[in-house]
Amino acid sequence: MNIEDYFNCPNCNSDLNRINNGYQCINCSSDFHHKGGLPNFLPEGINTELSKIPHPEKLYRKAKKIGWETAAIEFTRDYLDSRDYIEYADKQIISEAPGDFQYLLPINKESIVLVIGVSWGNIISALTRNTKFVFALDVNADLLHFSELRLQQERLSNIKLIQGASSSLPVKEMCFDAIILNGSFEQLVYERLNNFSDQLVSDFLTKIFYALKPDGILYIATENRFNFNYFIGKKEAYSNLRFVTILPCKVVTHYFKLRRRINFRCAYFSSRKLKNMLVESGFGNVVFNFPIPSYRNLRYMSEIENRAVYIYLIKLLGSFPKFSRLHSIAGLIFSFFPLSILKFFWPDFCIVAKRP
Amino acid sequence: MINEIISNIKNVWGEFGFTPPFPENMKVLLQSRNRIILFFIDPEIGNFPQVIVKLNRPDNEKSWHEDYVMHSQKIREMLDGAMKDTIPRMEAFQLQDSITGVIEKGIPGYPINVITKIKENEYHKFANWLVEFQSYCSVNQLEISPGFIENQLERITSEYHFRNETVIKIREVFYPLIGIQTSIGWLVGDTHPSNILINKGAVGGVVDWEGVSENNLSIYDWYQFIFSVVIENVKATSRSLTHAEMMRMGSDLLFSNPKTKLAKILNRQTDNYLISKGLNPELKFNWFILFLVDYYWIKNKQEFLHDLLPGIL
Repeated sequence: MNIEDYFNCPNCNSDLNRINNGYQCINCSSDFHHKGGLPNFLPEGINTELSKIPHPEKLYRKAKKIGWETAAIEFTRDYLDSRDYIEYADKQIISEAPGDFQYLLPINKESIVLVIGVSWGNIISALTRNTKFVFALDVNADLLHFSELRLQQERLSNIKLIQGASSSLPVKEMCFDAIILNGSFEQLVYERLNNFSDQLVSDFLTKIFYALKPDGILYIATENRFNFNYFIGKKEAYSNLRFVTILPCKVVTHYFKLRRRINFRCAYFSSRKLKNMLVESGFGNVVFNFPIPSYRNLRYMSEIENRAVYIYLIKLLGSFPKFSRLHSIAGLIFSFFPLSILKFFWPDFCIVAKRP
Repeated sequence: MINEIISNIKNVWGEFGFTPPFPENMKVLLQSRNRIILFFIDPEIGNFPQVIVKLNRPDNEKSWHEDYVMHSQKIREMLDGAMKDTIPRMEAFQLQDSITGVIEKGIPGYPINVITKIKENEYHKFANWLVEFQSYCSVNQLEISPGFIENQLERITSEYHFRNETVIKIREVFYPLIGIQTSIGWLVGDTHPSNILINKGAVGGVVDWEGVSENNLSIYDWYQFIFSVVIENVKATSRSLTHAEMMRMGSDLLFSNPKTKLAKILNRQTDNYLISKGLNPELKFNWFILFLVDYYWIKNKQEFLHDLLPGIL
């Protein structure tokens, strides 16, 4: 698989030519040299400090020496200040289960998939096992290098990792059978906090739409802006403040500009807004799935809007120890209300949209 | 992969007794644990899955689907009438080179809920189901002999490196069992309450036959059930316990200090079960220890028994 057959110039969208140690745009002559052994399509002015790992060189060195899995556990113990570090490392870093959503997508051994946001490499390795080829793009070099090492040690070779920004997506048209954004939709906002506009999201979705082959699938896993936890005081992860997601965006942006002198914009959207944006970008058949407990730690996923499925799910969860009596009662009470209320307040969404 | 999965379901849709064609508006519920399970629900038929698909993970080299499907279907053929319907029809299939799966016909009902409500009636019904199941699937009688006991003791001495005094205590627990005749035969293998489906107050079905095995003591299925019930309760009420702590608490709750409502119910049901099997209920703790030593499957069994047994003895 040649990069230049699937990716183009992030500045002018023209084709690329392979040159020594990188690629060159045939139109604007921009050079994109490999950086740290990976193709680098990052434009100027992009915030690459997202999901920054503390002491990445130590993690990388350790992973090379003792294997990525043991290194991840030791790293979690040393730096992530989590009491249940083994459970955290197992569920969030090592386990490929967060990639199980792929079993609900129409992809197979013939599919070519683009993953935006590599995280710890668990989702891309899960996808690599079941598809023909995976291209994985992320702004953060540390995560890319760790993922690369993980894939090498797992002997998974049908993948190419690329450093690039979702806000300047360098993808060609009609190339991919599926595009996956697992927790990386908000990355788009954070990359361009200084000059963010809603148009940026529309352009991004339109570009994704055209990058998909006909009948191609876009999968987005993201948090809900109106997640009920935000109403009871959960802090927003990026700003570490309460209630910023549920207040009007303009109010929050002005507050940050005046009091903190920084640019900030809530990166989450409501289900209605997300659906509208997808439909406006051309997607048809937009289906919302609801993960439990979250898309980061996927245990169950379904369309809860159907009452039969919802009731079965609640009964199924009754035999699950972490699902308390309170959860069970709340779940049954909600079954008497229109399930669209649940959809409005559900913490996360896993959206599957199809290019007609 | 969903398209390939559905096409495999369509192949067995008629064989499973459903009227073709395969419904277009099937809803799918995904469960991600050690395996991937997809529940296919047609809301027009009912609030339960008509078909369940279980897949192994491609990074999991161990695939035993064909064996357990074959065994469970063999058992199904041994049963009659309503009992037969409590074991699901299954077909093994290959999804991709590295993924094998099983398509299972859904059975109406919900798993026994052990967390939010305790229903003695459901435990009682399961005990009855088990006694009836064992009447079909017990293939022989085994008399517990001194040789059988010594074999068990030798195993825990050599494999688990138990101290002499612990072995002596275990021998004391096992010796009252000598001379007792008990049935051996097919075991369900995983009688976790979430695998027992209750429908209209009766056992509608028993699912998850991955642990099915032959030539084991039939009573192990019951002990597996009651131990799973208490462990799930311990998990729900006490967080951040190690596995050994959890097992120890569960064992204490069950036999050493049975003060809770749940423990009293399980003790009562165990007495009834043992009586219906023609066994002395006073020896329930002795059978429980034999179950832990001989059968109970757990990761790091050596460490587990070493920590657990001296404490509960």
